[in-house]
Amino acid sequence: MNHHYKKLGLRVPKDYFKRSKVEILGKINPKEKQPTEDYNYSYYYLSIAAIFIGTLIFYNFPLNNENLKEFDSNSPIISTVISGEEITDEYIIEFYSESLVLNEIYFGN
Amino acid sequence: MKEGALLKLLKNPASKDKGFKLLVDLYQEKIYWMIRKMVLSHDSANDVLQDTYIRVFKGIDNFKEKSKLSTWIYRIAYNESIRFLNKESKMKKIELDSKDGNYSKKLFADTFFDADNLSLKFHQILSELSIRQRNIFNMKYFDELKFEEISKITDININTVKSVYYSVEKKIKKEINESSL
Repeated sequence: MNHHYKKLGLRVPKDYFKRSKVEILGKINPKEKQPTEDYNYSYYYLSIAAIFIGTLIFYNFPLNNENLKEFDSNSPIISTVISGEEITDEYIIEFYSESLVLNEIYFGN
Repeated sequence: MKEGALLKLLKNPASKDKGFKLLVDLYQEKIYWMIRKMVLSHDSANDVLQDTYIRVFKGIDNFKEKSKLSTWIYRIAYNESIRFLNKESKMKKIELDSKDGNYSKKLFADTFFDADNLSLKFHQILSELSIRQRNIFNMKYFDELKFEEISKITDININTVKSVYYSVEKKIKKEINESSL
C-alpha cells in the first residue's frame, strides 16, 4: 500500500487552511473578526424581510379603532347589537338596501 | 515548540491568544484530515473543525495533562465528529459497529472529491467496513497515529485497536492485490 494516496481524492478549496485559521480565530476572539460581504448581505436581507413582515401585519390586522368602527358599520348583526334593535328579515333587507344605495352613490359612478 | 511551552502560553490569560494561534498552526491540517475522513464532505469537516477549536479554546483551562495535548485535541475532534454524525442521521444514534449506509452518497455529493481508480477502490473497501473499523484504520494508516494514541482517542482497548487494524489491513491488501491482477 502506498502513502501517496493519503488524501484518497479528497480535496480542499484553494487557500482553505489560511482562511479557516482566520475564521477560527475570529470565532474565539470577536475583536479579530473582520466584517465580511456575507455578513453585510445577511443584514440587508434580514432588514428587507422585517419590512415585508411589518407591512403584512399592518395591512392584515385591524390594529386601530378606525378599522374596528368600519367593520362594525358594515355588519347588520353588529349594528343591531349596538343599536339594541331586534334582528328581523326586514331589518336585514333594509340594511343591505341602504348599503347598496350608499355604494351606488359613492362608488357607482 | 514543545508541548510544555505551548501549554504554558495557553494557560496564561496574557498569552492565551498567542498560544492558541500556534496551536491552530500546529494541528489544524492534521485534525482536519482526521475529521474529513470521518464525516466525508468538506463543508461538514470545516464545521466540525471550527467547533473542535472552539471547544479546545474554552476547555484548555480544564486540561489536566493526563494525556498529550495533541491526543486531547484529537479526542475532542473525534467526539465532535461522532456528535456531528449522530446529528446528521437525525432519527437515531449511529451504531459504530455497523456500516455507514450513506458513505458513497456523501462522498460523491461532495464537490471537493476527485479520486483516481486506486482511491476509488480504497473507498469501496472502506465503505464496507464498520464505522469503528474504518476510523481505527484511517487513524493508523493515513493519520499515522500510534496505537496507544488511537486507543485514548477512541476509548477502545489498545489490543482491540491493534487487532482491528491488522485484520482490516490484511483485508485491504488482499482486495487491492486481487483487483490489480
